[in-house]
Amino acid sequence: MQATVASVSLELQHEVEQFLYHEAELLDDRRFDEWLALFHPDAEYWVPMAWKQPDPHQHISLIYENVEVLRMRMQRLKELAALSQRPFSRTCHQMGNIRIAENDGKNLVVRSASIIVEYRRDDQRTFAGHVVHKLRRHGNSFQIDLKRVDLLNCDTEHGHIRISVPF
Amino acid sequence: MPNTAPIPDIAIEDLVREGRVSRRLYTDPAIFQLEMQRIFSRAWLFVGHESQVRKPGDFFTARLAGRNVIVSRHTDGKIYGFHNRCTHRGAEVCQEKFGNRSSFECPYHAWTFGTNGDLLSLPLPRAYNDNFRSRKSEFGLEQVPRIGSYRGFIFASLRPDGVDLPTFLGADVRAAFDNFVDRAPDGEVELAGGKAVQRYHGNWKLHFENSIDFLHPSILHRNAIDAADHTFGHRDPEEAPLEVDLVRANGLTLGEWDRVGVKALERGHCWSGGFIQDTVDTDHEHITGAAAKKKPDTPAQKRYREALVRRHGEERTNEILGFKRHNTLVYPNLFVNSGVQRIRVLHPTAVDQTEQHSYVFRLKGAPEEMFRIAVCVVTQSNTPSSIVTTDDHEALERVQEALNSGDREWVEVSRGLGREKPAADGITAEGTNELLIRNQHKAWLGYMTGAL
Repeated sequence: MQATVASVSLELQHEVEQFLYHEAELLDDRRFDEWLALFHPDAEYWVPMAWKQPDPHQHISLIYENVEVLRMRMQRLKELAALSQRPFSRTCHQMGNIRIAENDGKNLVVRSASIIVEYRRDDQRTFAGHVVHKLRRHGNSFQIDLKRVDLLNCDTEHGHIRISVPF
Repeated sequence: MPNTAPIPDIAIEDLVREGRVSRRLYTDPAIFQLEMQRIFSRAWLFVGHESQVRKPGDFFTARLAGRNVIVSRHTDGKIYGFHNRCTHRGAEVCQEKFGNRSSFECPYHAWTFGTNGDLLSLPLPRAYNDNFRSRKSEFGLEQVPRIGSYRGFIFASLRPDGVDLPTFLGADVRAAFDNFVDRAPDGEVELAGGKAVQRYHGNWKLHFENSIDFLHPSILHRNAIDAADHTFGHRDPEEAPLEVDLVRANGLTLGEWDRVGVKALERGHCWSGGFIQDTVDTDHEHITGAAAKKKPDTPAQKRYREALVRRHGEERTNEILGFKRHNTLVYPNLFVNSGVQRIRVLHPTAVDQTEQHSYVFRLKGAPEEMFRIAVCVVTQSNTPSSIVTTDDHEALERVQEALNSGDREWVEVSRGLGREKPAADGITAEGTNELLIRNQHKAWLGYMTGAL
């Protein structure tokens, strides 16, 4: 692990961190079109429903969508008429422990930890997850090929209540 | 036996009238306690599937009317159900959700039980007196009074007597399970792909009623339908992914919803006609009047159909795939969807707390793609992040909250009263008729007064 950490330049680490912070800000600000624009057209967004789920096709997931279907999900949030988003959720996406696990110059695998706090209708909820971003170089920034969020309570039986804003 | 005497100040018979019910059905904790005794502890309830206990020693744990039970295949080949509670000091004997064991050893003091529940051994046997030793056979794990299967689907009942499982289900519900299994080219299905759990702060009946209420989808789900149209409306419908079809299916006109027929059955069961473009049969001419909405079969769907034809022949295959139902509801808590290989179970945990557990099945002998589709349907529709059912559950919570407000006692369910038509083994009506809700209330009254 020491070698991996040493091989990442401060500049790249900074660049990746800023990208993830920006992504979190877009979600918290409900700038969903800009958030979607971070994804490559062939990207996938995945929130497994089993711990360390190996495959999105052999087991039910909380969310497993390509960008097209994700666009429908986000469009619904923009319509402002969804009963489960009246009033809409306030969120705070906190990103930490950001490590560049793989980097071949064009494609990166970034691992991080995320705490997401959601407030709605007098109820505050906390989610925690291990996050993987697969990123590709795109101009002077990145595009997301895959965002995977493994929630600690992905398979809870008693805790699951509506999830509206992505993690 | 459950106590069927009315508790003070509640006359059960007065709570259900023609076309209306008391809000206390949804809000009163005392009523909820009675329901657990008189409905959930008397009816046959779904606990699992035989594919979970193929070999001797295979077991899984399940919830049965709020109890924690073990369902196990014994060396005699039979399936046993017993309470997951040590007969010594009451500890939970088995902590795993499923597995294979030759015996169940209690982790607290090592009393050990066979896969049929019999007490096999216990520490310090000589420390017990003759009285205990003569009664040792009474210390097996407490058996669930009745357990049985229909086409591989395992049900249990806490009531020792009463109608058998096939009679309880009735012909129309059995047909849903028959269709479920007949869709498998090898004639067998297996539970796979995990479980999706959704929870809401509302009474269990609200969801059971909502699932066959066809006035609400085009109203409550309007914004999801609009989002689907906005994102995909300009595209050829043939290119729309399954997730979009599932959302758009809610957007029928009220006239179209009426043509989705419904049928009320004995004991509160019912079914509603198909409306979701399911995976292989998408002939919706009977609803929309528009021909050729059917998407062409994918190569996997073509191979699936061919496999069915090899087993059943062309005519029978058309019958199986043409089974036009969406939900078949088994009162009080089960949804059967044979077209998308899905089972859903409601577990009430309090008067205002309910969980729904959704399961997917693999059709043996079908291309793997068919299972992927079924997994996709549950991921999209039955998880806490669904863009459709999250609004259902939000609505149910708003009902639960608001019902407590004001002096008005009654909830109105009279739409379509008098417009029903008698049919073989039941009553049919147009889709937006509230007949099925009234039929559930009729069964509720039957169970609660001891008539069922």
